[in-house]
Amino acid sequence: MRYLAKFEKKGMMIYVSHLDIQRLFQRAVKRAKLDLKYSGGYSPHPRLSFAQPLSLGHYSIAEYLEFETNGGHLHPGEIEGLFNRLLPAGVRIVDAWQLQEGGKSVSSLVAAAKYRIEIPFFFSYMEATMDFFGRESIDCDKLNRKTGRTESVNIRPLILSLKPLMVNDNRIVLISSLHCGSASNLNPEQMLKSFYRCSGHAYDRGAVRIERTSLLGWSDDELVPLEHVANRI
Amino acid sequence: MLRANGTPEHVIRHCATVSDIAVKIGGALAKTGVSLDMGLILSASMLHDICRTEKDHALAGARLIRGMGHGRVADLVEGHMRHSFPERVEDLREIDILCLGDRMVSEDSYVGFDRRMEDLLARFGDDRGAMAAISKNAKGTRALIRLMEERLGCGIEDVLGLPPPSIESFLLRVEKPGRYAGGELNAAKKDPRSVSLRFCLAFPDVYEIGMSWLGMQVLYHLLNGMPEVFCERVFAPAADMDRLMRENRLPLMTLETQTPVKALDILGFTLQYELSFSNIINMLGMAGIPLLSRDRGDGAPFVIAGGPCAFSPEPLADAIDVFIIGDGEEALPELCRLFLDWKAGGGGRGDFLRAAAGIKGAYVPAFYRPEYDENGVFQGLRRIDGCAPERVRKRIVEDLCSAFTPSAPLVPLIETVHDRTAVEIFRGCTRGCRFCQAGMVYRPVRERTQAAIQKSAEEQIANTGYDELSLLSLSTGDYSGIEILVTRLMEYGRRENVALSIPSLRLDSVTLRMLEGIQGYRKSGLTFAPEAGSQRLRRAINKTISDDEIFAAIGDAAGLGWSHIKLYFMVGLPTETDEDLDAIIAVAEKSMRIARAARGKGRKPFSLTVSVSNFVPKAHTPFQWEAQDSPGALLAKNARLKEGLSRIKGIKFQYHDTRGSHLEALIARGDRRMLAVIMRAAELGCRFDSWQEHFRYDLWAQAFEENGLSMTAGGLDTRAALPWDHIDSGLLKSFLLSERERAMAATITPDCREGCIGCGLDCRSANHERRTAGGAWRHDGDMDEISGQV
Repeated sequence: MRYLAKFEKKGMMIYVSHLDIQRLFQRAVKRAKLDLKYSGGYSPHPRLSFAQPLSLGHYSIAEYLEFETNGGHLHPGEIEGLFNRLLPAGVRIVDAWQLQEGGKSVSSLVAAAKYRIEIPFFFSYMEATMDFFGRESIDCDKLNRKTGRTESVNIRPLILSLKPLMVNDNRIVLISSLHCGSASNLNPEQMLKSFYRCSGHAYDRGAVRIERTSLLGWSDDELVPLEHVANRI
Repeated sequence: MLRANGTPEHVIRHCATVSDIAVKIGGALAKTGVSLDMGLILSASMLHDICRTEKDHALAGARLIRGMGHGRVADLVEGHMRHSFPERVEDLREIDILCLGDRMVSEDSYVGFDRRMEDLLARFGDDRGAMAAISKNAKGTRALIRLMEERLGCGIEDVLGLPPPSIESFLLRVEKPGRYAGGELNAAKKDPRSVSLRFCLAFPDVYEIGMSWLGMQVLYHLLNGMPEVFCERVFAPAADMDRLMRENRLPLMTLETQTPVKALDILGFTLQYELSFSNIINMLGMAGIPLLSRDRGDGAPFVIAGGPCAFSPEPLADAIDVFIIGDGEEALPELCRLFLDWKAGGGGRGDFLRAAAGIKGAYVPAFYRPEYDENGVFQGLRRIDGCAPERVRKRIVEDLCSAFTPSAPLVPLIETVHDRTAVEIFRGCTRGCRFCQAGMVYRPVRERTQAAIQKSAEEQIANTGYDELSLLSLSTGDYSGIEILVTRLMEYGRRENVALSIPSLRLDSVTLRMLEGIQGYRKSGLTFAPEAGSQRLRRAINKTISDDEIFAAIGDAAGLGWSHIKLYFMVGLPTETDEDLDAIIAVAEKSMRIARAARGKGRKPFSLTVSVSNFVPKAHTPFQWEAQDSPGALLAKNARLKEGLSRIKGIKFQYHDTRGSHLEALIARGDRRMLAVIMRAAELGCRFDSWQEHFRYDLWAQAFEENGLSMTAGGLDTRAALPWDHIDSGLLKSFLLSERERAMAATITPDCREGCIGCGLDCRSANHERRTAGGAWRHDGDMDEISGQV
């Protein structure tokens, strides 16, 4: 049986890396006595994977976990209760669905992600945002994972939307959708660094709060939350 | 008045916060003799932003207030946008206090001056002129705040009664923030107000190393099992966090509740290796606890320590209130109960120490005084209080089966050195290697039954969800019925998808086949520890394995499919000659040849790692009197090996920093005068000395020099008093001396399971009848614990 679960990452858990979150879920599954399916081969691995890694220090209310069990019918409604008993404060399953057997992995469906980014207030933030988003190209150094070399890349096409909101005298919120997934990906921190560079301000990671608010996939020609794209039963 | 004026609620809240802060700071300064009108500060700060929604709000507000006939208040309101302050604290006026308060608040919360300046700089980021002015003023203001704090004798936050800034605000700026996050599975959650004893287990190295130590799991859960006790943890902050905490004057805090360690009742350090001692001093300093036991007043926690290095406690004696020598499972709860009684009874600090000295295995250094002759040569330790024993006999837990074992160990959120659960299968070792302190001081051997081990293992896996289980002991292959145990655990592991990891195995053909079963196609690697290259030197250190046995085992392993083997040796051993070093090269070379032949063609090429560590003479061993080679001599020996081994294809050579081993030897046999050196080194910035990238030998040398202590780890007279003579490990000095003589004659002393060798421990040998032979093979894993030094 294939399942998809949506979870949040908050509080101190944002300081736990993606790999450590994987380990954490693997242990939770073991304690839940779920009969998880293992891959074959010389080095069996549990069939448990994540739609998209989340950077260290980022909050999220839209992370997705996919796993497969051997037979036995687990009702999706039970997953929330089963896991949340076993997960540490800060990681919480909020919804779960059963998926059709076979078919594409959920991670391959991810096309974009939406972020809520809180930054310290500065005057002319509106102009700065418009100027940044209005540019035809924004070159920035990006590590090419395949070659291991840093290359100059135009990230402007990877920014789908960018909208500033003022919260109070101290904070501004940027709502932004960015390319995400294995085909094309832009980390919001990379975008933010470029934004600060273009607007002439110093970037301080410690003063910024980044939260992923949705992971999106294509449904016809519309980007919709991942659970609407996955092959649910 | 604010409401009548229609001032928005959020501005009113802001005014109230600024007022609160200005009054507290002003009040504290007034007490130190600065002349201030507190009523004026209160009124003006409450009203300073009365017209904030208007343009030029300071002037507008002043006009309004002046119109009501409050001229002095109006003056302050008018001037409250000022950013420059007098240089001297005595010159501070009411207006300055108001402005200072205003510069530390954002909206209605205190953020401190620095955060507020950051916000301002961000806001005026476009205006270079304004930015320069702000920065210049900020520098002056920071200097003024420092002067104020000096005069007040405490930080501004303390005056405000605020909790200090939290660790969390730094987490995005440090490496591996998960180290400081806490919140792990199976961590204790208790209301600190509901307990009478708050204990803090302190590990003087980083989180990932400390959390891989089984003792932490045992003691943590043992203490939290006591309803009156809440046990928390603290680890050494890594260099980056250390710096941020100092800059922000953040004290050392517990992981569970972020409580300053200083506020707890007992702080317990584990002494696992000598090169962590500078971290202990550093952690005490960061905690704000007086470094010397005698300087600790009634409010300070008791600082206690235990672990292997407590067997030679003198280098830390003046910094530690109570040492626990030997097994802690019984002694530590006894000490806690004593504390609870003492607290209920309301005695002085000395009363507790006096009572603690009565616990079996407890050493209270304050009740002993070291004596030196006119040349500064140590003459012995004299007991100066009858409440303490003449010699402190180490504590032994007789029955390991009934000793506490955690059923639900903590599961770290981040990857640690050993990301697995571990069960101790026996304590002690009967092999009698003459350099090995653990093998000497943890006698006698006490085995857990198979049923108890299996029960622990299954409980731990069920409660943690780990997929790897490790069996721990000093020499796992010596466990009675190891094959049956491993077979059973393997069956369980296959059922539950749990991998088995067995360090410290002897690799004879039987064990190899057993390992073959465990690892199957996933052969990770084997570590084998002949310790010395020649058979003669192996006899001198009491390693019984012969060359033939080594080569047979290597051939078997390579034939069964292992493609990588690690051989572990020591250099600088007593009686060692160049021939012994060359024998290491010869053994490596022949091993390589045999392994290649056994593996045959068409398979992944065989590789061999030769790992060499430097001999360090340790207390309570037959080699405790031996000299250590100088760092230069050790380096030359390593270079000889490197040269010889580099000619053999497929061999990788690893060796340890010789200066680190040198320092380890100096501390390991130090007396009470060593503490001054450690404190000075810590002051100079030494910490994480076992980490190559942090180790500063030059600063240590300076600390030795300044304190007039020699850096020669020379030989000791066997008749001389030793700084650890008052610690009774159960071993007779005559036994250690006779073992030393046998070493010089290269004579083996058999494993005492084959018959008592009269070491001095009166141990029951009923369940140790199984005959054992061969060398101590280790399965990869146990080396990792010290690989930070490689």
